[in-house]
Amino acid sequence: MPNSMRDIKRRIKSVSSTRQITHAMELVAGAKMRGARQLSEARQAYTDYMIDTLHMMAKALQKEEPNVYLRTNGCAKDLYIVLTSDKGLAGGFNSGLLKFAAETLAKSPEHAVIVCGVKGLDFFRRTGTEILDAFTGSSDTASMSRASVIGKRAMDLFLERKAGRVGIIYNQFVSAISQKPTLVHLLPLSNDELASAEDEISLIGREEGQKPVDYERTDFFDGIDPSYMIFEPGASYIAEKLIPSYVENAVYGALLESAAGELAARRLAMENATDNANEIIDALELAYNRARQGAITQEITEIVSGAEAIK
Amino acid sequence: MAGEKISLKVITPTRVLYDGESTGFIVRTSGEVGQFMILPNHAPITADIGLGTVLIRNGEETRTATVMGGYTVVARNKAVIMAQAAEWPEEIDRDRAAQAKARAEERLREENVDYRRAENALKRALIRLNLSDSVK
Repeated sequence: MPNSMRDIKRRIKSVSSTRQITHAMELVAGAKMRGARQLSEARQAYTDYMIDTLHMMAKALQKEEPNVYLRTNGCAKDLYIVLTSDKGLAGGFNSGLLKFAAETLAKSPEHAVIVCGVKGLDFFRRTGTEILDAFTGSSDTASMSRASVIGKRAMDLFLERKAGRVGIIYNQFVSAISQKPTLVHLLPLSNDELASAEDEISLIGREEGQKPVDYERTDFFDGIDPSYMIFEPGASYIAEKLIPSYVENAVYGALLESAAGELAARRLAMENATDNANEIIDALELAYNRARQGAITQEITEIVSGAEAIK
Repeated sequence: MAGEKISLKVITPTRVLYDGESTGFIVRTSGEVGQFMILPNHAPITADIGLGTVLIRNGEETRTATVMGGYTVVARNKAVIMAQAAEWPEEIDRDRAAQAKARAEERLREENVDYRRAENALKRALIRLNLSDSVK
């Protein structure tokens, strides 16, 4: 076998094993993505009722002194929670998000970040952004416990007046082939807006006019006058507990979206890689067959001409 | 009034645990009131819920589930319990709860610990173990 044929054979083998890996990653990411989407759907009911309760509470408390989560605290620093992935091989998932994050950060004169994911951590270290906390590992599996830790950290910073505003930047899962970098404003919430908000957009996505979480109004509170509601132990006590769990739930939602987005981006990237590998293999096989055919033709020519010579 | 029912939902961030009718349910508030029962035609109430269980009665049937913090809203014979976590007794992982209990007890013996956090962890473990025992 001539050298060129052996080389081609070797390349086919190497590309095939790469294809095997990319194909396996594609399948794994696809399966995990479906899991993350299911969790998102399971969270739906909780989110719907949570937001409706917030509306109702806000109406009940309209005349009261706004609680600490509803007041601006005078701190000029904006805190952004930025969700990225730990690993690459996910197409433009991180680059798109970090570009959006850098643009958003540039708009606020004083800012700091809480970052999730190795990619984001590397980026903010490189750009010299103040990093108040970092969470790495398992960016593709969202958990309520992590959401709760991140949410508490952000709320603590807000309560200690080390952050005046808190927002979260993450990739929203639009479809299996696209994600959209999104900014959601978390703190401080505004009581008036909570009370008057007739739809979710004015409540949670007011900064960008976007709809960060799928939310559907329940009919639970229809026709209920909050002023006749009994609050046990008290309305302001409940509101002060409700808002943190709302924030944690919003962070959980963002983590789920980001995880699903990461997996979708990876699945797509790996699908493309597998397609490319197939193309390369096809081309190489053609080249190999040509080389083989050439070698056979040459051999036949040699034999025939040898036979001719003997005659 | 006899025959009236509350339509009750028990919801957590990860799932809807219960969605059905109830002739009354008992929850534990986090405050001084302690346990109280909601019956049909209760006045509209929003109550904070501590760590504990909810007992759901539907006619002759009763079921109990753990409810780890949250709140409940009752209005017009509709009720929703929003819990941080909730589970039926048969879903409780006894080994995990027992380990959590041991860990919490150890932490409580140490000094300089987040006392409240350890105490809550112990409470949660005990509630799970007790409920799991009660249905055996």
